[in-house]
Amino acid sequence: MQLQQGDAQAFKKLVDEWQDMVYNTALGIVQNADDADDITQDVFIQVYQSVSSFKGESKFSTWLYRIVITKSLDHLKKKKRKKRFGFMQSLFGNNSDEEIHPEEFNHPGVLMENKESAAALFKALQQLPDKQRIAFTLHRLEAQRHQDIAAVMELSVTAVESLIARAKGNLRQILKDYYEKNVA
Amino acid sequence: MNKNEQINKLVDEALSSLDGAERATPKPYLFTRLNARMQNEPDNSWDAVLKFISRPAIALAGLCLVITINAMVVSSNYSGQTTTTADEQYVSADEYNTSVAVLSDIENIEP
Repeated sequence: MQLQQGDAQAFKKLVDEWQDMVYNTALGIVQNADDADDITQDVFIQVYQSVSSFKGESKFSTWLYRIVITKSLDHLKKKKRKKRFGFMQSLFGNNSDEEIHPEEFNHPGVLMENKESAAALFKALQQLPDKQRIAFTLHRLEAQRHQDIAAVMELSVTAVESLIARAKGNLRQILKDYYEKNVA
Repeated sequence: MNKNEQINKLVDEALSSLDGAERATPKPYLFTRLNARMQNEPDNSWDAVLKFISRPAIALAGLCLVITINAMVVSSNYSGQTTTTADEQYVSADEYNTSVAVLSDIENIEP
């Protein structure tokens, strides 16, 4: 592979080819455009630095998805830690309301007529356990097949199907509760 | 339409709201920004080392190791003190003449 020999042109080609997939996945998980942009850069830097460790045992896209997901989940963990710290600060008088109550997320790729419903869905997604959220995001936002999701998450196809079914069930319940409170 | 039906309709709409969604694209000139960042970032291997050490599992394992070594050192010292044999005690008593209890005894030693 040319990239493994440090070819800059090959790296540019790789970035051009995969940037939308990396960014869209990160955006679906972290639900913030600036954060997703940072994660996209982090992912490609890691790819450049560790491409020699890619042995080709799995598909390149599988390897790349794993990096994106790991980076995105790490980012969310860091953000949660910061939020807790921000909350502590707010108790002592520092104003950090913006960080504690983030704005509604609107995915730029969603059709205009679905924007409002999608915002409710993304809000509900935040409450799902990580595995369910990842499986659902890859399936619905990245249109990945169950077999491919299973390869990325290192699970069986049955386990992925079960994760997606549970995610849908949980989302239905969360959305129901949400609309019961918000529909007059 | 009653409230329940209305809510179920909204839930179904939300669950199918990603149908036909397109991939989001990053801001333009990603490669240029990426290149600039890679050139500006120094190759700080110390950061990698510190990052590795500060992992909870590694830090905890290190702490356990230090505590274990400390415990071993303390216990070996303690057991070393208590295993002094009677012979050793006799030799030191003889060497330092600890059998002589008071100064007057030394002065009045009989020839």
